[in-house]
Amino acid sequence: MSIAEIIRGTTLFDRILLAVLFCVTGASIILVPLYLPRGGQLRIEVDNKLLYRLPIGQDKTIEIGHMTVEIKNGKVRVADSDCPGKICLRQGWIDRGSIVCLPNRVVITVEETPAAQGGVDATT
Amino acid sequence: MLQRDKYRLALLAACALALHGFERLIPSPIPWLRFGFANIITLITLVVYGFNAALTITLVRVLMGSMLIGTFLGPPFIMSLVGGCFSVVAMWIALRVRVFGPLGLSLTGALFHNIGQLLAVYAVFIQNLRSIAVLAPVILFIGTLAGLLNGIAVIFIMEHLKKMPDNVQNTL
Repeated sequence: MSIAEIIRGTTLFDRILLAVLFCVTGASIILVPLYLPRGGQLRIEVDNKLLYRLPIGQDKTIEIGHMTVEIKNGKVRVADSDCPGKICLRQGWIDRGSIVCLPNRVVITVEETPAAQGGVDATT
Repeated sequence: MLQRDKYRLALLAACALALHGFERLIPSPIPWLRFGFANIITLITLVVYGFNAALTITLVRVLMGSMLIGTFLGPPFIMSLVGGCFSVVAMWIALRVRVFGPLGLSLTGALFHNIGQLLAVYAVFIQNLRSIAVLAPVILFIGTLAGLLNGIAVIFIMEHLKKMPDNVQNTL
């Protein structure tokens, strides 16, 4: 089986769909994080309920159930967790976006500080 | 439906289940991102036997698979159930449009599988649009890659099915 045979097995619309999907998803991987607010404060939600709201500048280690969340140097990570997948651990340190641990129903989101939403933007 | 077709469907469901199970043994950087090889079987069933058969096989795979692996009614189960149903419906619609070949159908299936999963995650577990927005592009990109691989596999299998002198062809 050769590449020519693969290409012969596709229609024009297949190729268009493939190109569009790759472009759109590839571009959004790069673009979406750029629109996320950088550091400020952390929201830690468990079961969709807000549990903590912490400034990201303050070094701190907190325990949420069987998870350990560490805040250091303006970044946050999950230091330890008992969940099976350990996706949250693999994400490492982040200063924007969020870490999600589905088994523990924990969502850690970096969001702008309320002050930054106000007048401080004049500098930009 | 002929008795022979029932046996074939049972065999196809077994194939899908086996792929679903063995796929877990492939190491992956992120545990929930997988190739979805079972979609190869779903897609072939859809093309050869139609919508009802494909939906049956998906439901059998998701139910039996979750019981074998031990995630019945857990988050992975709900995600594969919603994703599987979404993908079968989407592929059926794409098949009816009649402009797509196996690759396009496979890509549609992969895309809607992921959309279904993300909706399920949003509806059932995490009402946080921002974290879904971060996850979605990566999941959809890898889904497209997986859809490409599966699509190529389906192209090969369909070629072989067409060559077979057996009465598979008559049902097409």
